[in-house]
Amino acid sequence: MSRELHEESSALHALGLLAGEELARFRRECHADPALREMSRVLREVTSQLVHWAPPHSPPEALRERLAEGIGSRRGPARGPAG
Amino acid sequence: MAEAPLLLTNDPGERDRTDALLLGLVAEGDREAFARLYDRFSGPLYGAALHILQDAAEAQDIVHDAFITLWEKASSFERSRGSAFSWAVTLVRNRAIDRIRMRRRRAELLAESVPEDLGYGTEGGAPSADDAAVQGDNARLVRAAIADLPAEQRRALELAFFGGLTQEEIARRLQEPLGTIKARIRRGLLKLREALGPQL
Repeated sequence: MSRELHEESSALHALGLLAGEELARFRRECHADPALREMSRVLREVTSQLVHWAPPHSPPEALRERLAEGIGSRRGPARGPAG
Repeated sequence: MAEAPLLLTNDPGERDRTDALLLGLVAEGDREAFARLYDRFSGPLYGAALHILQDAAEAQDIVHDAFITLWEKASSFERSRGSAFSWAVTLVRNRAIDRIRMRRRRAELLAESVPEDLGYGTEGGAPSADDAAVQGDNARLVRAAIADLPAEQRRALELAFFGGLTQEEIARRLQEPLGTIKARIRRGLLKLREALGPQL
């Protein structure tokens, strides 16, 4: 796969635009290619910064209180592999 | 909360290290660290969820559920796979996009449910906490980098990131070949990578 195609697939993957066979192929290639994995990681980081494009809004204080109650009613963080 | 160098810095590398440190403390059940992480992340996450969903109650539900996931799965975080912030963004965005796609399927109102143009450079309300101020500096840098992109690249990225459209839907919406849309997205993200720095 050419560098340009790697970049394109990584960009589309970062935005959640790969599906089906395209996604499966990209995951296989990522598994086998550390450079592609790194490109994918970097473009996911870039993509995450796009949240700052939206006008900033502070969530209401009630959300913080709701979360405090939410974690209070749960046991501590789970241990072990991601679910 | 354990003694830790929780720096207020706009250096992305330092910021990511601090976020990872906080998430590590959250994995130990540290509620104060969880509160700090909330202060650092909740503004941009809520802003994005609100922009995608255009509904405050739904945006709050999404952000709430994402933070609960961070709390419950903090120990599974691996910094080598990406930053804590990137993980949090993915949690929020995936949930928000799922909701708007569900809405579209239900109501078949694709055209009406995609947000309008963002008004590049438009300033909104100010974040409240010190941590949010650090995020605010970063947000200004990001917005400036986005403003420097060609308009057609911005539009493709906007429809993908906030609109939740597929590649094909973006191509149809913009009346361009699919290959053109893929190229715009690729070039746009690569330009942002250059602008936002090699530390990513």
